[in-house]
Amino acid sequence: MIWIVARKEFLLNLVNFRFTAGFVLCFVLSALSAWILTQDYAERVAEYSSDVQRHREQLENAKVYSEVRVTVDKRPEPLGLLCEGVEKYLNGTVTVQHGTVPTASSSAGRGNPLMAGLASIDLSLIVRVIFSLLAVLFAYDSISGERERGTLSLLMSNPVPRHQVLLGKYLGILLSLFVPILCSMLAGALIILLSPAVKLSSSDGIRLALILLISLLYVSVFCGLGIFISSRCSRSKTSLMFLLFFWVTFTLLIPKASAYIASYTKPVDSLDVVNKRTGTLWREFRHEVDEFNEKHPRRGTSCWDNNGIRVFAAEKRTMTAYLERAKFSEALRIRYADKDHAVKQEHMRELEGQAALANNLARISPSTNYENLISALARTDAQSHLEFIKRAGIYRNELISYLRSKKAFTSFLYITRMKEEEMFDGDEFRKWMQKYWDEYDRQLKMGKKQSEADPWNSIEPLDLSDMPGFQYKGSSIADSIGHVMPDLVILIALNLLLFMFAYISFLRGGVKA
Amino acid sequence: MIRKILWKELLTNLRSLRLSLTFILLVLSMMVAGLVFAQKYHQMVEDHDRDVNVNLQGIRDRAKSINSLAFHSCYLYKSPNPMRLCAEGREQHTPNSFEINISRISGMGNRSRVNFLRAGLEDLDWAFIIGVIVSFAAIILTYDAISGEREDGTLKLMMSNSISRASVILGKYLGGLISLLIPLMAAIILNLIIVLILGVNFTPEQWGRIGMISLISLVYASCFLMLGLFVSSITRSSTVSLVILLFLWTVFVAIIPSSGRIAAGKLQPVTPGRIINKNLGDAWSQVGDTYPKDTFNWNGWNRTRPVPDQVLRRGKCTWEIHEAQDRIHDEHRKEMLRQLGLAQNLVRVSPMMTYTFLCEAVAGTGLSRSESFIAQVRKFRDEWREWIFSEDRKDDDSCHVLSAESWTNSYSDKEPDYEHLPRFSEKMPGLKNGLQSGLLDLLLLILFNVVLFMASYLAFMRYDVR
Repeated sequence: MIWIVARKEFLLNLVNFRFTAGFVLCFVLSALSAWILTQDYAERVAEYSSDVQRHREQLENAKVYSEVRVTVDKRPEPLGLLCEGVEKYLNGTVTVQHGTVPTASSSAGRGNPLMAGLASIDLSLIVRVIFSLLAVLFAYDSISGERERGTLSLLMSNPVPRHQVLLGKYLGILLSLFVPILCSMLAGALIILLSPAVKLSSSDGIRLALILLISLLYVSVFCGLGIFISSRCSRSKTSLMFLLFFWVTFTLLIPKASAYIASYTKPVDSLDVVNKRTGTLWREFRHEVDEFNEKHPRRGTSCWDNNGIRVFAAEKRTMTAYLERAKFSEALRIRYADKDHAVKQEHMRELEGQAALANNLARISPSTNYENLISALARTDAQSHLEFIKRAGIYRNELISYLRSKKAFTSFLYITRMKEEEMFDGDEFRKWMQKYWDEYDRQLKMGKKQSEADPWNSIEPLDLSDMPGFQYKGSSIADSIGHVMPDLVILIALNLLLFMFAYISFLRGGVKA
Repeated sequence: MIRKILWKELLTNLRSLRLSLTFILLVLSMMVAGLVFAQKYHQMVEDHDRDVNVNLQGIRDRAKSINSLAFHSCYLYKSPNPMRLCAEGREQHTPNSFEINISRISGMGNRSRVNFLRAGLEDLDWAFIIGVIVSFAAIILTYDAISGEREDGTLKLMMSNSISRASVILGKYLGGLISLLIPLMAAIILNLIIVLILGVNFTPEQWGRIGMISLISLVYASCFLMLGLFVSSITRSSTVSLVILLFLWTVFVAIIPSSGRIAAGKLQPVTPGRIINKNLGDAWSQVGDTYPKDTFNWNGWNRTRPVPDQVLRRGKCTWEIHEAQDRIHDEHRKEMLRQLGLAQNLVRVSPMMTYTFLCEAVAGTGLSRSESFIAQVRKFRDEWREWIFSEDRKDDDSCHVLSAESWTNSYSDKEPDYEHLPRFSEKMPGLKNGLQSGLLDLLLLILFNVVLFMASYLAFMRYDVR
């Protein structure tokens, strides 16, 4: 009997105008958004690849240890095509060096900061707003409409229990929602898969399936709400009004209002203040280094000397002074980098606290629960990004211990490739240098530019083949869901509760208008 | 006769569930917005005062000579603007401060209390609340104005009287407008009362702006009333007209506003940061190449006179390099503003966005404020520069060497006159200015109204009332 009711409901919906209009709108929008976002994604991947290439070349070109600076890039998430999340707003390029601890930051520096915060249409927006509307439109008159038309009493005059009618209607509506959702998602997925830029792994396939499932769970909340309100109202117009206002409140107003409330009841420090705090730290650092320099004045000459950080050649006493300074300053720099990180981390905790408050306030809206779940599954939420940053922080420690094992901070290799036995003082140094001077002049005469004739160019890069590499695989499905478990629980609970309410009010309600 | 229809519409609406729900939702949202805004406004004022003082204190503490003042990073902040209550204008994503010294202007990001972990959620302002709820209420009030009456059979009855179709549609329109006016005015007045009680002050000019925004909100509401009437008078069943209207509304309010960024990024890309960096380097070498090779070979100079030719040359060269780089930065900033302008133009198809931008223009926030802020920063930088040069000229011990490098010590060594430092204070774009930049939007809104009114009039003329 359930199936007969469900089938009737489904078929009735199929021939309805709202079904056709909703179907066409969702299908067109999904396909369009998938196509546009795929184009955008291809560009981002191309940019990412060229960044990776550039950063690798930079590293491979390091000739002394002071030049070893690893820049790691986060690959754009392919499932971000379905749900943008905050991925684009966060900086996925992080410098890992002993002098900087990776911290999350906004990506406003890349591209156009004025455009930051402008969202794009992705599938999650379409599901969140339009599919929920469709669910409301399908369900609002499921009971109250039949009451008005008098068909409910006809239906009930048959030997069919009420729970079967309700379940049948529920399944029928869900089924008629399932068709446009599946078609839209398939169209979107097809466009995404056909693009050569997008490479999906098998675990992405599971994530996709989960996204589809959760989308269904989400629309079924609105479906349950629709049936519940519908069974409470005697007129379908009344139930429609209530539902539409609930829908606007839940999908559009609450997420925004809760973020607004959170940002001023739990304010965070301004970036300006944080920058000034870290600025003071680094001023202290420079002051300490300056003091050290005053105590240990440098004498003698050096050639092609980049502030003593990268020196082609120098007298022995000069080079030793540079090394002493580097030994002092680099150990200090690591300490200050940690202090700097502590300041930024405190700010991060504030940001996270505020975001959590906003999120918790907004969790009364299924729309927020849905967004949280999908962005976590697509790995475009803030949590995934913080995971990446955390991994980069661990990598920094690996890098430092590697550099220490190479005695990088305590040997001449930190600043120069000049061999220790070739370091002389005074005239002897000048004699030794002469051959380089001559060569440089010769090249200049041949018409080369100053930068091209720089003897630094002819030095072989450092051998960094045994340096640890950076690996980031991204969080596993279990981890992704683990973070947003409350949202999943809320969605399921809402479904069950609303269905129960609908059942109770249907049992108690009359069959006549 | 119009009055009778209007009166009937008004009474029906007033007793209807939809208007009560609109009233509750609108008033509640505006109250929340008012409560939070007061908090936000005090924070803005406090932050601004603190930042300006910290900046002055930093100058006193660290810029002990005119030379070091010339290269000290001086921060220029936007003033707190209470009109953000009405239209936030994406101020969280536009620069709130710039850092200047004698030769540079830097900083295009927002360094206020932003939270990049939840980007994309703007503050709640009138433009959003009214933009969403009032337009929604307007279509909900009118979707069955014609098609619903036909279904009920009352349209036939009404038309059997000696009454012109024009007065029916006009009466329905005015009835809807007046019924919407009630929750709208109640919400606005409550919002303003809350904000005033909690200590936000407006100048008379700002009251004028607020009044104008309220009027514009009415024009906006009428736009969607017309849309509702139009769709209602081209459909036979009220369910169909509702479905069409809701989908249209969703597209206008949720879909189109989110479609500007990628399109603008494609149509008018901004030069990427690494190219800008490359151009900055090129500017350096281009200018540097016009100078003799030994310009940058430094032998040290300790303010001895006569000033060696090399010092003068190097100073001039670095100055020119910085000027060239400044032009690149300025062009880049303009490029970004142009891209944002394009993104806004693209989403103007939606009346909600037209309305939002119009509110921003009248409120003096948004794109026009960013443009004016950047222009004011540039102007102030020139003043700042002039002031430092004139202070330098007053000192006879200084060698008056033009340079863009602090360690040259080319400017006066005297302590600057802290009392007479030029102070920066952002001036809001004037109301006249705002009206000028908002004119296009106003015309667009009125155009929407006129076209939709004509369309619904024509459609209703041909409507089969049976």
